[in-house]
Amino acid sequence: MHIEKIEYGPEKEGPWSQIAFALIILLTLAAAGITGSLVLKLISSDPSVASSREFIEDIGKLMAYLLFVLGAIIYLYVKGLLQDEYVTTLE
Amino acid sequence: MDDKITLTITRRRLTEIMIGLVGLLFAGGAAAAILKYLWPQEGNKEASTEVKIAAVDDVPTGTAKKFMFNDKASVLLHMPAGFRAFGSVCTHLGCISYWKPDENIIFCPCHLGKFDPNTGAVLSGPPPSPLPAIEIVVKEGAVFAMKWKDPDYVKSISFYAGAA
Repeated sequence: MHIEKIEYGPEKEGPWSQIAFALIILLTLAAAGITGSLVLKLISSDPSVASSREFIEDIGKLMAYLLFVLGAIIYLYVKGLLQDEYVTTLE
Repeated sequence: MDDKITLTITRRRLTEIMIGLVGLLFAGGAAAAILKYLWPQEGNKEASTEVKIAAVDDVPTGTAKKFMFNDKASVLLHMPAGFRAFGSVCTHLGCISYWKPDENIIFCPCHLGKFDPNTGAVLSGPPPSPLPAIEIVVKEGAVFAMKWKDPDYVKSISFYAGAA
C-alpha cells in the first residue's frame, strides 16, 4: 500500500475504529516504554560497556521494536481512524 | 450559573498529542545522552587501589586476562619480557580493545586501531594517543594492579574520566 494523500476529514465511526484507537493507545504506551528504556540504557551505561557487541545489539533490537510499533501506529491511524475517502492509496 | 467545563478532543488529536509526547521523550533522551557525553565527570576518590588481577599460573606467557581497574576495562598481558597491563578503553572513541596474539598487538575492532603490547603505544590506526599503562606487582604468586603509571595522562583522556 502506498498512501498518496491524506486530507483532514472527519473520523471513522463504529466498533472497528474504536478498537483501532484502543490499539493505538496501547502501542503508544509501548513506544513510550521502549523509548524510555532506550534512553535509560544510553545514559546510564559506561562507555566501556556501551562499546560491547551485546550492548549495541540490544540497542539495535530496541530501535527495531520502536520502528515496528511506530509503523503499526501509523497504519492504524490511517486505516482505522480516517475515513477511506480522505485517504488516497495506490495499490 | 453553570460552571461545568467541557473539553472536546478528537481521537485523532489525542493520537497526535501522544505521538508528539513520545517524540519529545526521544528527543529529550538524545539531548541528555549528548549532554552526558560532554559533561565532565568527577574524579574517583578511591582510585588506584590495589587490585588482584589473577594468579601467575592462570596467565601463562603469550596470554592475556581482562580485568577492571578503577571502573575501566583493562587488560593484563604476559609477554616474554614480563607482565604488562594497560587500560583497554581505546583512546580514539572509547571502544574496548583486546589482545590479538596472532598479530602480537592490542587491537581495537571499532576503527582498526593497533597498539604495542609492550608499551601501549599506537602502532597504526586513528587512536590519537597510547593506552595508559598500569603499574603492576607480582607477589605471593599473584599479579596485582597498583596504580596508573601516569595519572595526569589518564586524566587527560576523556574516556578515562573519573578513573584517576
